[in-house]
Amino acid sequence: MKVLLLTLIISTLSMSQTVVARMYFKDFMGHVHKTPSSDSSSLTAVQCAFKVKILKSKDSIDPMWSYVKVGEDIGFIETSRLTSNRPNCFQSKYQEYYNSLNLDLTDLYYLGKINEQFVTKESKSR
Amino acid sequence: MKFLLILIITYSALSQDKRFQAQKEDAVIDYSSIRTLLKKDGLGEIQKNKEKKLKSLISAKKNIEKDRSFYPSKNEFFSFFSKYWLSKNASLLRWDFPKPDYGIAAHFKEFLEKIGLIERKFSIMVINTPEITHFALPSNPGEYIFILSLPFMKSLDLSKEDISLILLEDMLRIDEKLFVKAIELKLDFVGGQIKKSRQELQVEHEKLLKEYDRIIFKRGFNFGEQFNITKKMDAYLKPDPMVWSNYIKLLNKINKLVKTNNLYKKYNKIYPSPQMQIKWLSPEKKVL
Repeated sequence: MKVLLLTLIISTLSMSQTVVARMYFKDFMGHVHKTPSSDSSSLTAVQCAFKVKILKSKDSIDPMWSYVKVGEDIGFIETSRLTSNRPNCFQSKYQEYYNSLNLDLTDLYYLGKINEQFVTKESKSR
Repeated sequence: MKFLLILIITYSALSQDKRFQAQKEDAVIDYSSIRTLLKKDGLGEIQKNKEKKLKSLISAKKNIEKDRSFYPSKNEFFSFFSKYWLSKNASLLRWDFPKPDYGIAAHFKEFLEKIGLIERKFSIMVINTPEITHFALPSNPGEYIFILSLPFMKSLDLSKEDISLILLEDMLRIDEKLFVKAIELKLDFVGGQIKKSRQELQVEHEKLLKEYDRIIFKRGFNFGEQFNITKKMDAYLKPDPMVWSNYIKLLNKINKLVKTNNLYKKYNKIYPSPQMQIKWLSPEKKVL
């Protein structure tokens, strides 16, 4: 019985992930991905100001991506889309307008995908 | 008894005298020296800063409360609505597909810098349909949202420079506010207070979405607008004859495609017309 309990404790401990930081999702909408690639499948959609736990990854990952836990889902979010301070989100800033859009799940999915599909740059003086 | 009375009177008179003396001393105390001491401590300064912070926090909170019942500001409205339109048309435009970075954005950035157009933030989305060949959607000031058709790029075998030229045309259309001017709705509500019910707002969203559809799929741009854009392109590209001649070659390529490929027969209606653009760019023949 004791051995069984000990094994259970050890396995639970090994399964738990180390949280190295807590951050917020800063874009309007986004996704937690299965692998560190925006083409990989989405585990869940996230909204601006969602709390994100940054986990310590066993394998080395591209610094462009963060290994995260959102709710029960563990996956990857682009690091540039996270912030340590609570962001001022469109959703809460223009609450009445946002609520009137009456977004359904499909809208939320695509609005989360849009920024991932854009390649964004800015011209600068040389 | 008399003695006791005299003693009490004398004692009270003495103690009153002491109180007067203490009050006099108080009046003599130099409070200004205490003030200078406090100044030296910086406590007054800290209190001032705290009061300032509190005031700014209160006004920021008031602004947040105020914004909640307002339309997005002019600086945020179109970026949001254009993305909303893209999300509503995701299945038609087929933009949600795995794609590599074609290097278009990096080339266009360099191209803009070469012709002196700086501090322009742009986002490019490649779509997998010939339904729209290329289009710029209105966005925040100094920002641009481009959509670009992969089948169109493939049909013409466009180089990165060709694509940059197409994007520049689209950018100039946004600079001229051609899209926003073409919207046949009063847009004075943008940035203002919401005075409509939720149902009325939903009707308003629908109307604006339909206006986007009308401009992008049907109206496009008229000859006058196209002439102005072509002349602006001419001015930007003239200093580099190589790029200028590439622009003419590109217009010839598009002209040929839209005349021969049925998939792009709508092109001339949206962007009238590559043939006319070539004519507008050609040096005028002198009549002797």
